[in-house]
Amino acid sequence: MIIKSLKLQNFRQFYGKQSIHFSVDADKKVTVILGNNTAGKTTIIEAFRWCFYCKLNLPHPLEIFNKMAGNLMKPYSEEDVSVEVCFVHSGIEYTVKTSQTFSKDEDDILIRKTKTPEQKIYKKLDGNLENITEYTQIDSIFPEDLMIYLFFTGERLKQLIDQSSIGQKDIRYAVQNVLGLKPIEESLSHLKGVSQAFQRDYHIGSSEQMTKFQSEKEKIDKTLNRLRNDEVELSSEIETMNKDLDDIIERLTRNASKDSGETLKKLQSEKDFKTNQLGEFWKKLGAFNKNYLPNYISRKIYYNNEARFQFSSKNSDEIIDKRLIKAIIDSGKCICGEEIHPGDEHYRNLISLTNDVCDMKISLSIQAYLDRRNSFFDFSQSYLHEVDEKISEIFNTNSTIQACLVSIEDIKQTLVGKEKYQDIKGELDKQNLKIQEKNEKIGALRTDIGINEKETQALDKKIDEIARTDENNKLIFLRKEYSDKLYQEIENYYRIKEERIKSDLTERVQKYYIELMGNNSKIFLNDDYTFMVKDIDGATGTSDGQDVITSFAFIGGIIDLAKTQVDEFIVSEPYPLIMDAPFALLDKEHKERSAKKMPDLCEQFILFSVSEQYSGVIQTALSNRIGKEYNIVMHSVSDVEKYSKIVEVL
Amino acid sequence: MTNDKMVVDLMRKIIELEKEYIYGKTKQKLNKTDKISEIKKIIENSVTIEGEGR
Repeated sequence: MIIKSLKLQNFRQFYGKQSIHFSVDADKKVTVILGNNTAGKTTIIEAFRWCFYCKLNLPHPLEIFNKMAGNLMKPYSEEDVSVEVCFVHSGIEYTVKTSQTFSKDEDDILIRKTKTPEQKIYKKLDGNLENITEYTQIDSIFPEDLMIYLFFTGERLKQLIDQSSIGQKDIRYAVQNVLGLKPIEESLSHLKGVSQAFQRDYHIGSSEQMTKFQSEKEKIDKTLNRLRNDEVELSSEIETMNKDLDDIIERLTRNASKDSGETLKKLQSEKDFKTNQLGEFWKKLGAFNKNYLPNYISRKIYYNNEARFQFSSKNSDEIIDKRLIKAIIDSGKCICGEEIHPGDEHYRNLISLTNDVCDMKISLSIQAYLDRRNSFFDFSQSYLHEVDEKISEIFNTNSTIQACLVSIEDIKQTLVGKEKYQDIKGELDKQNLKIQEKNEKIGALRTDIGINEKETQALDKKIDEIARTDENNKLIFLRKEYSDKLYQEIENYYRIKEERIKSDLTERVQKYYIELMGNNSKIFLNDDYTFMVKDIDGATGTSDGQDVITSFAFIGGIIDLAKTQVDEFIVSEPYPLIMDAPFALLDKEHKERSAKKMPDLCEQFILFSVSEQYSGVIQTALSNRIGKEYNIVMHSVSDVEKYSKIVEVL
Repeated sequence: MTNDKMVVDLMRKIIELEKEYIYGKTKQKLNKTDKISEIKKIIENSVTIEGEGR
């Protein structure tokens, strides 16, 4: 299917008649549609769904009709809202037009003239449009499930990337349908019913034993029905609980992220540790100074004094000091030969002289001073070094504490008004526990169902054995035998086909993943058709960007498989790929890689984006392949009257 | 005993019918009981006393 054009009339934001002609040129297969948020990009994607399948999720049915068109209508007048898509499928041009009429009553109130939309399908034959609505279902041309893989609104893409439970359900269902498994699966479900219907046809009264077995079977069937109803109820409860779980996970991501919470915790603990360390450092510095600061100050004083004295007299030739005079007095004889007696003149002169001379020689005093000063020298150098180191430690620790405080404040600011991570995490754990309990309950229920099914099967066999040889039931038995055989064969066929599809799909997704991601991580397909990425170390954690790439690779794989798998159910067909802001979560390198690769996944690539995200690497990567470009421009007539206009740029 | 050829023919017929149920304009609206009845009829018409399913 290649889309040629889309025509809108009064559809939501789009007032009056507006149209887009998509590029159908194989070399320039890209159509770019740019518009700000709320301009109507998602509306255009939804318009396709409404046109094809008459489905649209709106809070109120009147919202489909353009507000301005509604305001301009006079009482008793009528206006249509319509979407018309022209496309080529299997070489035939089709036009699908879906419309709904609105009118104004006498009180100027807008009402739906037709409650449901009307769809018309036309086929172009020999240049003329032939109305084929009566005998054609759009699903037979373009199945709705295939649309899941080709038309991506931002929300749909997010579901696929997140692999939420809603996304997973869609994925499994769509893959089975797109790849031709749905009719086989349905036939299995119906054949079970056929076999039971044949058994009900047995003429039970013709054998006493048969009547007995049948009565036993009816009892077990009653129990089985009750158990199965309980199972359905419980499954539905679990499904609702899983949806709630998705909501909690979403809240967890949206609010206080785990990273923020953990970073905050780490920062606070680092701050506390550093604060303790800072106290220790101050203590050590205090103790160190207590021991060594006096010595350091003494060294300073020694040096200061040294500068004041003239130590040139260190080697002076003075010879007398107090000790020499005392020795002369003690000897009783002066060096001049005179006798000295205590109290005589010589004695008094010598005593008087002791007042004028030093205790020891100046040179000896200076030497002692220098010796003492030198003893401080080495230590003083290391003291300064030690103090310097200790003060540096204090400064660094203080800086770290300050940095922690700033970061803590920053993170706290980002968490203002958000729920606490721990609170939501608590809710998540509780919900997981509840689901686990329900799963255990459903497991026990299924075991009971299994036991009862075995019993009923054993009775079926006994009844069949009697029917086989009973003239009245022989033919019914044979038909039932065919029905059971068909079930076995189709089940086997389904299993083989599903295995083949899974293997082919994995191979293709792996190929696209390597091309898009640029590394050799291994892709694994889970039972529910979701994918798991393992890097070369076997790690399975993926970033948002990797999840986007995995989803792109998955989309590519599905389209590829749907295109190339030609068997009794699938016909090879070109496909378009329509995406709203697909590259937003990617880094520059992967934006470029993906923008170059995505058009290769399909025969037509329609990209919706806001201008800021588009300009730069994406625009450059796509530049040679753009065939058409449009801008959606918003116009304000008044505060409440706004509409969007599609403007052709290229 | 079932006849392999007939089983394969019936498989084809049933899967084709299922495609009609899913994509066909007229059959899509049938409920599950009606769909089961249609398949049952296909088997009944193919497996008769005369042919005994062979």
